[in-house]
This record gives sequence, C-alpha cells and structure tokens, in this order.
Amino acid sequence: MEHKQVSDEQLVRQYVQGDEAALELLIRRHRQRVFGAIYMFVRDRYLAEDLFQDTFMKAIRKLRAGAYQEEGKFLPWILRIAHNRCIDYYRKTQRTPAVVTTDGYDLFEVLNLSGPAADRELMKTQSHQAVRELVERLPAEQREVVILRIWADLSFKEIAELTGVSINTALGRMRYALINLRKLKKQLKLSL
Amino acid sequence: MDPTFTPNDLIRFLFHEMPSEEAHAFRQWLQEHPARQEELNRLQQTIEELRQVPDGPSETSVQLVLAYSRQTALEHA
Repeated sequence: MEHKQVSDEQLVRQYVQGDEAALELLIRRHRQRVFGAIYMFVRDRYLAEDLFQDTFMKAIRKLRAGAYQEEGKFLPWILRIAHNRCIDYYRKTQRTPAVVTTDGYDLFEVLNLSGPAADRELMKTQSHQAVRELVERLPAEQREVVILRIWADLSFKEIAELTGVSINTALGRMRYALINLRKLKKQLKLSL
Repeated sequence: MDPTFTPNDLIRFLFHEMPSEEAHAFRQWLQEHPARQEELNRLQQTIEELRQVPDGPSETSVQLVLAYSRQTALEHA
C-alpha cells in the first residue's frame, strides 16, 4: 500500500485494522522527535532507547484498546505517552518527587536526576555535546520549555497545559532560555 | 518595545504560532524596528543551533517495537 501522502490519522486507522506497515511508517515519521524529547529528558542514550521502545509499545496497546481519540494530533499524543513513561521510570527507580504537581510528579526533579549518566560519551559530535551542555545549564523551567518546544514539537499552548502555566509564561521562558543560551555560549567560548 | 507587540511575540513569530495576518503586520513592524529585527535574528540562530541535536533512535529499537507489534497482533487477534 502507498503511504507517502497518508496522514497520521489514516495510518492509525490502517494500523488498528491490521496493517503493520502503517505502524512502521508512523514510527519512522516521528522517531526523531519522540526520541529527541526522551533523550533530552533523561540525558542517557541507552535509557532513551529503552524508553523509546516502551513508549511505542504502550502506544500499540492503547491503539488496539481504542484509547486513541485525538484526531489529527498523533505526535502530541505519543509525546505525552513518552513524557509519562519518563516520569514512571523515575518514580519506580529513583525517588519520590519533592514537590508534587497536579500531574502527581515534579518534572523539574526529573529533569535534574540523571547527571552521572550524562558523562558517557554517547553523542556523535562535539557540536551535539556542546548544545546538550548548554541546555543543561539552563534553569529547569527554561530547559523544560526548550525540550518540549524544540525537540518534542509541542505548541506553546500544549506546553502551557502540560506544565500548568500560562501561554505567556511559556513564551517568556523560551525567550529567556534562548537569550541565556547565547550568553552561555559566549561565556564558555563554545562554537556550535 | 512598541505597545502593539511584546517580546513574547518574537517567539510566537519564530515558532510560526502567529496567525498569517498578524505575522504580516509583525514583519512590517520589524522593518521599522531594526533593533528588534536583530534580536529576532539572534534568537533564530540559537533555535537553529538547538535543532542540531539529537539523532534518532537506533534501528534496533525500531525493529524491536515492530516485532512486538507483530507478536502481540497474533495474541490480539
């Protein structure tokens, strides 16, 4: 079957009806965004690979159970699953969040947890490493917006809903994050 | 900054979250505010640098998910 121009929604329908090739296209279409978001949250490539698999396996179960009802929004849907899998992982393996949000976890704590793992030489280029290091130096709330908007590709409205702030706050955090990244780059004399 | 637009509008514009009519007005406004145009350029450059990373998952991860789907499809049927 030709999938080139098929929408995510159509692929979801085809997959639920038994077309395995539709799932493969969905994964290949969105793998970089999903993996990127997970990676920037956990900062550990091996763990990100595991959580990537876990995310899509969870999505498969949900799709088959008829739990997908977000017409036209497959990417935000799968990213929410990815986000929750990251949170679940830290709930099970690390510690109880210091401050519990409306979602039942402290995202900022999660963002700060995996420091030692970040020492591994897993990024492919020095440029990638430099960008990662810069982002890690941002205040948690700014880093969160950068990850969710640039790598997870959520809109500011979606970020605002996910993190419990206003859209203007999310926009402001992004602006300050970009300004701070530029300053950090100069301070550290990094070339990207 | 001009009362018509706020600093946050720079971000909305850069991430294409501004309606086309408003974006058109914003572009015109930028022409009259070169300092804001320069700020916009700096922000844009930083965004492009951020988008360099990271790469996607390994092929093994993709194949494991597909194998899981095939396997559980039989159980689901």
